[in-house]
Amino acid sequence: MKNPDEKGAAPPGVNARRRFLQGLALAGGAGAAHAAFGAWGGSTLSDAFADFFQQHYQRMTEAEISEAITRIERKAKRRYGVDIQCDTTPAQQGVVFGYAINVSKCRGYRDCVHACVRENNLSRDTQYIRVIEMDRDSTDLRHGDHYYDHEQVPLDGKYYLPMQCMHCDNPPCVKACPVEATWTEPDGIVVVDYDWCIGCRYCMTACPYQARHFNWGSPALPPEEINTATHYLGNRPRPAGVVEKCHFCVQRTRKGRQPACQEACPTGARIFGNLLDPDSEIRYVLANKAIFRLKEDLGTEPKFWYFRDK
Amino acid sequence: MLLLIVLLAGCWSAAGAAGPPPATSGTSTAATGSDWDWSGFSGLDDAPVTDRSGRGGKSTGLPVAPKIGETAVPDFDAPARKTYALFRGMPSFDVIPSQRDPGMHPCSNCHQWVLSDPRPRKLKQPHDNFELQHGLHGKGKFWCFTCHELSGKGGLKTLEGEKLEFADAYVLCSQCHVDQARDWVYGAHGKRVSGWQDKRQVLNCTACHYQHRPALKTRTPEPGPRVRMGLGRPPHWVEKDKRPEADRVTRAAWKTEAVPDEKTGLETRPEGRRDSLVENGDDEKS
Ligand code: SF4
Ligand code: SF4
Repeated sequence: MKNPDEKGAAPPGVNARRRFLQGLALAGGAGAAHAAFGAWGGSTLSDAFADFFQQHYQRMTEAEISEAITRIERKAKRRYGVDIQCDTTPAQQGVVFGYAINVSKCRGYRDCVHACVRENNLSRDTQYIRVIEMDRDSTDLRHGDHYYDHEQVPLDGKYYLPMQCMHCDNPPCVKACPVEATWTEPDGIVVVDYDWCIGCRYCMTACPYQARHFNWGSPALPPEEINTATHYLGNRPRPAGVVEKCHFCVQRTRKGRQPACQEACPTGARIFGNLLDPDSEIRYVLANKAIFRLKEDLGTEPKFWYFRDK
Repeated sequence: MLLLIVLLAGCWSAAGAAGPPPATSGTSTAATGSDWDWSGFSGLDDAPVTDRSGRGGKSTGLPVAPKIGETAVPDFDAPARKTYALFRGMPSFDVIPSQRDPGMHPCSNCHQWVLSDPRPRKLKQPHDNFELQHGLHGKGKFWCFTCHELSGKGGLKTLEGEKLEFADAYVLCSQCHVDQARDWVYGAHGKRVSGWQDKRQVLNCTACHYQHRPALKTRTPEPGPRVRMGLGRPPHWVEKDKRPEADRVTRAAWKTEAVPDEKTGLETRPEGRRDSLVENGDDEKS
């Protein structure tokens, strides 16, 4: 486990502490090794210990969660010099989120991609949303291209298919995780506890939609661009060596707001809402449009639909 | 009178077809072609960045409204208006009016003083900066006064002659675009702003479509993902035209006649996906 600060001039004793903690962590098992000195930078000794013994999110008591939150905010302050607010807003009753995208409307602008990057404090070399340029009359994903870089879009003879985490109802990524660091919340959002994830990347292999992204290094995150309204299971700054993915902007949607991608879409191709509300727009789309989902034959039951105008 | 207009419209379209093709870049011609004040039609780039959630959350620096053509800037602070019932039993929602609604219409700068010439014709000075590219409108079937009042400040009117506020432009659009209007009313077209919860607030048609040239323009996409080592286009990736015929699943293939299999009775198609599933044995097992 590399620490980015290690090369800097550290006062004597600091490296000894690091070595000590490293030994301790290795002895204690890989389970939370990264937490003690992940890429947070400048953890104090007590924070490092507390991080090391931090429980799984679902097993923490309220007091433990609020301590963990305080630590997260303190670490962000130390690392980025920014005051973030990390909350743990729970799922609303009677809400299961779903998403529908009108592929006739999507024009491949990638506005959603960058709204997501800004909203969710993504490392600036990571993008949760991939807009795939597809040949008209074909649904063959093998020939889709998400690196397209034209002067003008949309191109004739192409259509654009945005992909992100589908929040599967039967998620293979959750089944693959050996430490249960990823699970489905009551509102249908598949989340990751970044402090519990060991970075084994099994889930990335299990996901048929390439929706998960691994932080190979510390996220490259300009401090002045940090979104300070964060959620524990959502967009709080992540350490290096963990897996992350789209979480339907849990920090927004649980407070009744739209996800950042929906808000940024200039064509109105994105429709987000509560699947349990029979009057919601998404239910109208599901009932009245010719809808399809990607790789349906795998039985992952994505809560993410696509439709066309005609 | 109506007959006369229709006849003249036909002449105008014939004349237009013979003339040089109309300029396609609306804004630039508009900006340079005359000394008119077109600020009311400016794009949205200089629109103030505000939070659209209506819940006081932090703005993420997103543009306040879509950056497409000369669309109207939605006014989120405007008082709520009563929404016209376009369909029986439709859900209730608010339509966000646009900022330039009251008295900012550039035509009325002159035409509140100068009488309009109601005859459909090819527009000349000082109207040559104005482009009407609205489907059939551009072909001379429609005319300014299909949608605008002849008198007063050039407000909107329905085909039946009822007056409309600019904020209710969706009523005008829905007279012809019924399918889109239905989708818009029920939420499958258009854009919902504010949250997914609480009272639904949607943008007016003119927030995304510039009413005189409603087709969306092309534009440069934002940058794509960084190509990670070894994760570029796969080696087998070939341009569509150079691909072998068998690799293309086309609509034509889906439309081929279904043939029932002699043994199993399953319907198979000579080409297309159904066939490959059967070959893989997926269907036979179940
Ligand atoms: S799309 Fe991938 S990451 Fe998202 S829930 Fe499904 S399997 Fe998991
Ligand atoms: S990388 Fe994925 S599978 Fe491995 S611990 Fe993290 S969430 Fe679980």
